[in-house]
Amino acid sequence: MNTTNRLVHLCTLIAVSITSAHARDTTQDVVTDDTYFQELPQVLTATRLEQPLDEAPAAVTIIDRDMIQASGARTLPDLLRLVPGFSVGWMNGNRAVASYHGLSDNLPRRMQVLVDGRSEYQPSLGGPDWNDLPVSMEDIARIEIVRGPNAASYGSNSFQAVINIITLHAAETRGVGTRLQLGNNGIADAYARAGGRLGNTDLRASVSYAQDNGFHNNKQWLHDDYYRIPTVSLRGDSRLDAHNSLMLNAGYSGGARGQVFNLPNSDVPYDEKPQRYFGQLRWQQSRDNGELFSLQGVYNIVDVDAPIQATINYPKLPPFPFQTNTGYKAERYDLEFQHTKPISQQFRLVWGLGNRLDTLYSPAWLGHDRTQHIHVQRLFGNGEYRLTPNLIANAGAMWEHNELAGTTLSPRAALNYRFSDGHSVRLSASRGYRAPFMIEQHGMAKTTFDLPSPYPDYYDVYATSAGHAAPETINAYELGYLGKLSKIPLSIELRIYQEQIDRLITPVTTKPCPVNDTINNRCLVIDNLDRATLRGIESQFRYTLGKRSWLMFNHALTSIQSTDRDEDYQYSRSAPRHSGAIMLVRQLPAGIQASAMYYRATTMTWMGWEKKRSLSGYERFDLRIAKRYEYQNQQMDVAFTVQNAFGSYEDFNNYNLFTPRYLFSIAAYYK
Amino acid sequence: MTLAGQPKTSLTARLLLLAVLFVGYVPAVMANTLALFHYGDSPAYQELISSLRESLASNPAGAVKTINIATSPLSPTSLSGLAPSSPLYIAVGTRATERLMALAPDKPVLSVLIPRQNADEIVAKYRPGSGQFAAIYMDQPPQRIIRLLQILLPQAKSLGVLATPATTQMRDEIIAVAAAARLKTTSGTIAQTAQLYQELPSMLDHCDVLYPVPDPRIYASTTIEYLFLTSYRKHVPIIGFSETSVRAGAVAAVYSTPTQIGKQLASTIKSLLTNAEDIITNTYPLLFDIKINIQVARSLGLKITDQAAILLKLQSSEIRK
Repeated sequence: MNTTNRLVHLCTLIAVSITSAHARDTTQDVVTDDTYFQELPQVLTATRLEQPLDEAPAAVTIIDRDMIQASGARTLPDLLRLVPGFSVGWMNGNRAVASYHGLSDNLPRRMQVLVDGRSEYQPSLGGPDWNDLPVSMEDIARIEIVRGPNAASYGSNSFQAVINIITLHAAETRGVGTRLQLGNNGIADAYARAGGRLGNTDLRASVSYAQDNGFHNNKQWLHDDYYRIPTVSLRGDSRLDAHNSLMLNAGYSGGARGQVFNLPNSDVPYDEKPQRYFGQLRWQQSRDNGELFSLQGVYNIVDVDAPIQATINYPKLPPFPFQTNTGYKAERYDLEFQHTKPISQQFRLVWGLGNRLDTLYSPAWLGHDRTQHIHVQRLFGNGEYRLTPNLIANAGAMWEHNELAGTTLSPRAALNYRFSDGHSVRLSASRGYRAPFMIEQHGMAKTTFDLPSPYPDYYDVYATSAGHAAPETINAYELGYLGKLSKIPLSIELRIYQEQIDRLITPVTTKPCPVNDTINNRCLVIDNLDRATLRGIESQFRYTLGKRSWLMFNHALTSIQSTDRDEDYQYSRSAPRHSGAIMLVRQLPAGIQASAMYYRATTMTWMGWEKKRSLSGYERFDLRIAKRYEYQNQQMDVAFTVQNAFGSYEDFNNYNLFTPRYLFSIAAYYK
Repeated sequence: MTLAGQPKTSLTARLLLLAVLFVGYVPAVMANTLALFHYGDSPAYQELISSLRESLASNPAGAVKTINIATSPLSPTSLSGLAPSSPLYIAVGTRATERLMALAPDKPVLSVLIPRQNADEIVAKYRPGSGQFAAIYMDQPPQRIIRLLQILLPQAKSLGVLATPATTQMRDEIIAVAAAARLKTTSGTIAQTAQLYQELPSMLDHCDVLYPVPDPRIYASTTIEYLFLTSYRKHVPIIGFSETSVRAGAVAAVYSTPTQIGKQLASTIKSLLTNAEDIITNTYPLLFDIKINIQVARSLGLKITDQAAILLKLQSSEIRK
């Protein structure tokens, strides 16, 4: 132990002398009156500050670093199980789906996901690809989940909810760190990061790798729905002067995922190889009067290669070769300007405008090999008015012009009233629109079977879009209550809501197929079809037991009534009537932290999948025990996690059986 | 008139000597200008000088001659020629104070805009025990800082004090006053800015509010984002020391502007000129202001209503004492 300590001490000295050589400013060794008058930059600007929950015009759930660590979650979607009203499933071993208040199939597309203010909406999927989000869990500072529509603040696609992932500022992650997690089911996750300062810029580079064998015990498909995803991400924060700062985010993710292609008589496994690059640059200026300006540019490119080759054996036909590629290429260019202006002590205005170009090349889904372009322009604004110190009114709207859907205006109004110390109510009404995404508006998923002569070509159309879908609309009303008791450390959040959704874009099984389908003359036609009314009550309770110790309970009661026109698309069964989670975390002596999570949901169906039979309700226990070792400027965390400790449950469909996962991780940080 | 402050019994000998000296000089002073020395032309100095002049405007003996020792370096010979009839020297800032104390061991020096620890070190170095020195400190009295903390954060139970080797005196005093106010304390000392990365996280785990002492090693350009972002993320409010520290992200600060110090300096000089038996002690600033970062306070869930009301409360709590 002594030798180790000495070695560690030596390393510390080296590290300190290296870092201090850059940090030490020899002209400022002495405290003088200059110290008292030096100009300091505004670090905690309005955009860095969390809005107090009782002043927010919507219901917000915050998942902070402590919760992320204590939950033992490996992936972002699994963290969402801790948010009331969310359903999370794994369509297969590498594709997670998460939705708020149901209404979802395997491509949830009614939720906005942002990372550091950058939309993760993929034009190819209509939503985020959780699997290749180039954000490492270790780099996340917090996640803000806004439950309800909020286009006025978060832009298009903020239809049912907004998930805003905020990563740690590069100044907060100096030094080096690494984490390794191994588990059953072929699980291996590795992470390494290095952070330092170069001139006036704090930098962080993170590399991570994740792999998993998927539901290899899948009864229906005997293929491997694995994933192996490497990710690299870079963050730079520059302070140009006391008023101006720059943020840079860039990243790459790649790897491979095991998928399956359904052919009329067989399933063909193949390897999908996604590649993704992105860059984001944001300039921000803060003025002494509280005014803020920001200009942000984002570029994102996703290139997926998914070659499929098989020999088809169809009755009455000779075996013939088949090949296709379900890959695609999508690019996004986005520019956004935002201005925050405090107009008086009571009134603050935030407004901005944005311009986006999305392109998609996807022969397998668009039915042609041209690149589709979509332009979207948006103008948004929100005014916050303090009528009295305890009564705050918010009114905002987003105007959007979307090539696929025309022009929409999404307004939102809210009133927050703090009626007593620590207690407040909120009333809000909002309208949102969801424009159809490319596949919904111009989709044509058709497989061509090139038979050898003299046989004709056969076509199997999986889905086609009617081509004239109007945006879905949501009218949402809610009443919320937030309470923070003074006698006991308990905080309560309650929400009762009604959401009326019209013109739901539904893929309807149609026979005969309007497009030439010579296999079974049946296909999905995508068009506005249904209506749904959602009502429910959500609650969150948090009892603080100490520093890093708490008990959290949340519950959602959801009721959906819908026209349910298609028997495979039963919106009314797409959310569990009851779902919730309990989380107990205790910080014990000697740096040990123990946590236990319980997740439960009653029966529901992810639509479009295994049809008439619903998913049975599930319950799941996750347990984690971790120990932290600290010595001077080093920290090491050792943790053992069991996910779904008892039994197994059906995940997303009746074929995916999620069995217990045992994970062991070691993380070491050196500042 | 006696200036309320922190009379130090260890200074009594020095003070009596100073009073005696002033007695001797009073008649001569009526017709002379006061010499004020400062190093450099910072806006703070300008503000103090104009505030001083404005406050002394009515007093015929209140003419002030300012000497910028950055542009007119001092030597023992040049010094005596600059303001021969000035009964005392006013030194603004640490550098000017140190230079004067080194060069003019005979004249009384009244020093302003100087951190307390610097003042004590300079006196110990140049005139240990000999008196003829009084200062109006730059720092706020620890009692005032703790009182502000109690008004703003009545539910806070433990205070973290982050200090450096140059500010150990301030750290110890704040801890003593906090302990007397029944606050638990935890402290960390960093000799170099880079050590902030090790000290800060462990401190934040053990305190409800953080007071980083004003020191360029703590409020360094390389670590300022880290200091404020990490503390904010752990929901630990920071008590600052100046208006700009509050703009940076400190939830509040109590500070004295150069104008206020100038007024106090003028008042000190006036009383010295009119009342020979006056005793001047090293004193903390009397006049002060507070600034609150309402956005940060709200974001941290602190019920901070009215900056003016809190200032009034702080001021009245001192009068009561």
